[in-house]
Amino acid sequence: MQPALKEDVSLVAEALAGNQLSFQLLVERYQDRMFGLVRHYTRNPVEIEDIVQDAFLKAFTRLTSFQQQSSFYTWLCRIAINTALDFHKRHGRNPVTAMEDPELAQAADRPGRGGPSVQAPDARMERAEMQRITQEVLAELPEIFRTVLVLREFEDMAYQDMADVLGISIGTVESRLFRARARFKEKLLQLHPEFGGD
Amino acid sequence: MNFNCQDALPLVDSYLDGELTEVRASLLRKHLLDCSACRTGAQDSKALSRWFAKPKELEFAPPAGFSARVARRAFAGDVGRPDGLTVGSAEANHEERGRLLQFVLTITAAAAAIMLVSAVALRDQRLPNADRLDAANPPATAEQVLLQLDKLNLSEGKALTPGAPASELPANAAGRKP
Repeated sequence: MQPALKEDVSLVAEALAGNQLSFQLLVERYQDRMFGLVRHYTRNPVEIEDIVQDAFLKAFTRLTSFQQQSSFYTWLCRIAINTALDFHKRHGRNPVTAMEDPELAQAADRPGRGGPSVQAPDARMERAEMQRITQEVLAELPEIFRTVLVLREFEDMAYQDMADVLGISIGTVESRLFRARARFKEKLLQLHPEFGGD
Repeated sequence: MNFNCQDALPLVDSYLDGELTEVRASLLRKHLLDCSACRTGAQDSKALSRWFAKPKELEFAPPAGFSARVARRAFAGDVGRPDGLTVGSAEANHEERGRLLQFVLTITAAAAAIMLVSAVALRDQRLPNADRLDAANPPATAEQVLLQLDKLNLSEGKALTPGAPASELPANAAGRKP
């Protein structure tokens, strides 16, 4: 077991035993990453804070169900993503578009990404501008695609951890990620045809 | 085992993510050496991945005292907002399936009750009673219908006893030609 993971487990045990400071340390350890994760679901700083706080409060009420089979952060991610989706639902925003559910799509229809190629962002392009475009494109994607891209590209999660967070198999992670990248490329070229490579 | 392009393309991302087993990775590498179309696809994937640059600084930082506040609220019994939509949550999916099953069972029970009541009502209904039913040659016009009814009335009138008063005859038995 990795030292960081071991420490998480100890902190969880202490928090369960009634040590408030241990839980505070857990929050402190992961709060930055949680804010970074949730910003992909809303750009409003007040909403981000609300969602992260809610996610930690829910995590505390479920600490006994933390199985230690996955890392504490993976477990926390799952709660945070669900909290973000709940938040959208409560506010009448539906990030899940059933019509675009990739599980309903026939993978065989699109065996390869194909289509026009995309340019890598120009080295001279400002990082902030590139991030603005990426966020703009991500916001246009159905939640199911956005989440896999966020977990992989921004959270650097391994496929196994993504499978744990999303409650799906590694094979499904693979195919969902493949289609998510294809959608991202399509949407990027649709919104910014100037980045087309052909 | 050789890869064709259909096998290879979906694996390119996993290969670039470092998630392919060595066996599959080596098969893919071999295919990429031979196939320029898939090499172009792999280069495209690389170019695309460069769009996902992480911010150098935290874009939205937690406010000062955030962790202490959250821990205090947690220990004070604040449980956050109730759950609604959940993705990847086995318990929530199970709950959703339970609600759907309950709905289907309710609808099925209601339909069965309606069918039972209808069956009983139909059984008790008085069926048509006649010596002969003849639908082979139905009367074509209203006039013909009236003539047939008059014939029927007359025949019923004759069936009565000869001494019976006129009031016992059917009302339209007299005065109309058959």
